Amino acid sequence: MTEPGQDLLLEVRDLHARVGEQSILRGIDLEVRAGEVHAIMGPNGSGKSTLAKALAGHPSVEITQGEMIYRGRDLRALKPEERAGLGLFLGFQYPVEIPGVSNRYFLRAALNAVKRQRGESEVSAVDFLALLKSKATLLDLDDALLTRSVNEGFSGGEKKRSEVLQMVLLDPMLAVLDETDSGLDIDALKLVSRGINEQRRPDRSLVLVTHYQRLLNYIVPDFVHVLSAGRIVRRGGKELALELEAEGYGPYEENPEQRVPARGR
Amino acid sequence: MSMVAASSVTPPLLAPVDQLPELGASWASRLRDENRERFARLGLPAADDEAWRFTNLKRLRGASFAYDPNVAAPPAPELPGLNVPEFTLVNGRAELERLDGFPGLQVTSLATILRQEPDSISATLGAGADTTRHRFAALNTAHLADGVVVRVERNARAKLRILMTGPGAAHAGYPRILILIEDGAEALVIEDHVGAEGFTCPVTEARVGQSGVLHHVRLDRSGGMAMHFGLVAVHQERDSRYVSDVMALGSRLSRLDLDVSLAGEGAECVLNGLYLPVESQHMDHHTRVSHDAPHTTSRELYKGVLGGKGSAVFNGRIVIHEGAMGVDAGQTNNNLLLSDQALVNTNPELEIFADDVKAQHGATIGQIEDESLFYLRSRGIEEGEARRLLIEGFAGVMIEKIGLEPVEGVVRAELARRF
Repeated sequence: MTEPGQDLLLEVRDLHARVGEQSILRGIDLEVRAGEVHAIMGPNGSGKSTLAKALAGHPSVEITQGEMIYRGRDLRALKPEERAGLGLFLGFQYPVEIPGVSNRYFLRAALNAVKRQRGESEVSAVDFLALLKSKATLLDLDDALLTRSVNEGFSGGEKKRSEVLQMVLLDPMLAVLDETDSGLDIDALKLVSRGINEQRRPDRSLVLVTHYQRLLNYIVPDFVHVLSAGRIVRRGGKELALELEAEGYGPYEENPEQRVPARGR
Repeated sequence: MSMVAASSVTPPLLAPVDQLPELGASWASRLRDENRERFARLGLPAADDEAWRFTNLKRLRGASFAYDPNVAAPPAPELPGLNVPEFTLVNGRAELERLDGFPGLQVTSLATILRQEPDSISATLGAGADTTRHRFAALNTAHLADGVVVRVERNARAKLRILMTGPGAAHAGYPRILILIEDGAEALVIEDHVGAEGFTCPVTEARVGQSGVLHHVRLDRSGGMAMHFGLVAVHQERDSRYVSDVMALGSRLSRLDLDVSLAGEGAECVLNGLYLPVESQHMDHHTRVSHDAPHTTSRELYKGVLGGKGSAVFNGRIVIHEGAMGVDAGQTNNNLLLSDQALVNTNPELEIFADDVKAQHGATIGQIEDESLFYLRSRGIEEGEARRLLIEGFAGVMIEKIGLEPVEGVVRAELARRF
């Protein structure tokens, strides 16, 4: 495991957000430093996915209060593509199928778009193919999935591995992975976890959004945050995940009034 | 030459008889006379005609066109990279008497055939186009004079591009194509309408013989003020295959009727279409697949991308006749609307008079989905490029089906230029 760094990468303060008419996030505080792995856990409907979407700039999430500072920039002022350019990556819970757009074409377009934003030179078609092949082998992704339309006809596990492949290619500083473990059998989970672990670096942080503790057996978090009814109601280390596994989310299903400070342990 | 006002008391759009050449065969003259009489009697479809409910002909009614096949047409752009014999019709008039040097492929001007060997087409010319149902086909036949007859001989393989240029602004053209695919022959025919600025009223009749194959690519690349009202009528014999790629890229106001008769057992047709109206373009596609024989198959997929004030109609009729058992028919129409002012009317019509058949249809009208757009943008792809990717993905499927890179390139360029 990497030693938690000191550089503040992401700072979320008193974040309130709604989706449609419904208020979902009701005051989230979260600090992520370089190299740290955070797990956001909580019962269904607690706002985990909404938090992930808010960070990436999903148009359905309306921020009503608070702020999100990423690498010193106000995320609210940045378009989703600009956030990606700055190294923020969202692994989707439900990766979107894009008919008619070949996966390979999409991946290269994404990589080059991100490289342009970072002031790096674009990757040639030949170099890209070699890069893609090496990364896809790592995740045991079949060649056929690369020539097919994006996510179209992929199994659940293939979609999730494909998300991790995108993460590996785009080389983010902060990866927010929303339920990347859901729908995976144990072999696929190990494969995905290995892929993610190989991406861990002192200057790269992970936020794992997950309902179950299972994933955290393979990717060990530095911090665990429990989300309930739009607030973080408990914080702890990796042992908190085990406790949740043993005791369930029962105590967190209600709407608690307490609010826990960002670095509280 | 004479000006014919659409609003005058003389039958609208009909050129005076003395403007038309003598035809070499009495049956052909009769065919023309019958249709002159028919169009004079019926005229243009009325505003309350169900088949024309969504296509307003006001623009056509108010216009007048000169009929003069001999006037020069604007030059047509090339189709670079396509290494296929070409035959050109200018305002419907053949540039050459015949195309020589391609074994198994006979390409002859209609006027030449009617002069030299009219009997060779007396049973086929006019046999496919139903001029009772199609008023514009009657109008075309009422001007029967020239065109092209393509014959692909038994078991031969052939490719041909028919280049149709003109008519220029304020002129009318009535091109006529007859394609005869003999038993076991295979052909690719590209019907390329380029650069028209006036009123084009073309009719293509095709007959595909037993076990024959015709791949028919039809491009409308007419100019932005052109009006285009066409009919393609196809007759298929036993175990034949007809594949149609219709690409509607041009014209201000257009309608294409595609009639396919699956007359022989085991015949199959695949009808693909793509329409891309923008600005104030209107594109209407009416297809009619008639399953006349048992065990015939039809597959149909039309897609539209509509921008600006563009509008479109898709009307797909499938008729399965009594006794045509084991028929398998499928029809899909998908539309992508890119502006609030774009409009599409889609309407499947299934008439099934047989048992033991499979017939499916489906239609969608949608916009670019926020979720798809966000997915691409979250990967760093800028919004405009993300939109283009999604549009290309939607339409690209139809373009790839053509299977001819130079033609695909033309369509892709049009797509990129528009959206």
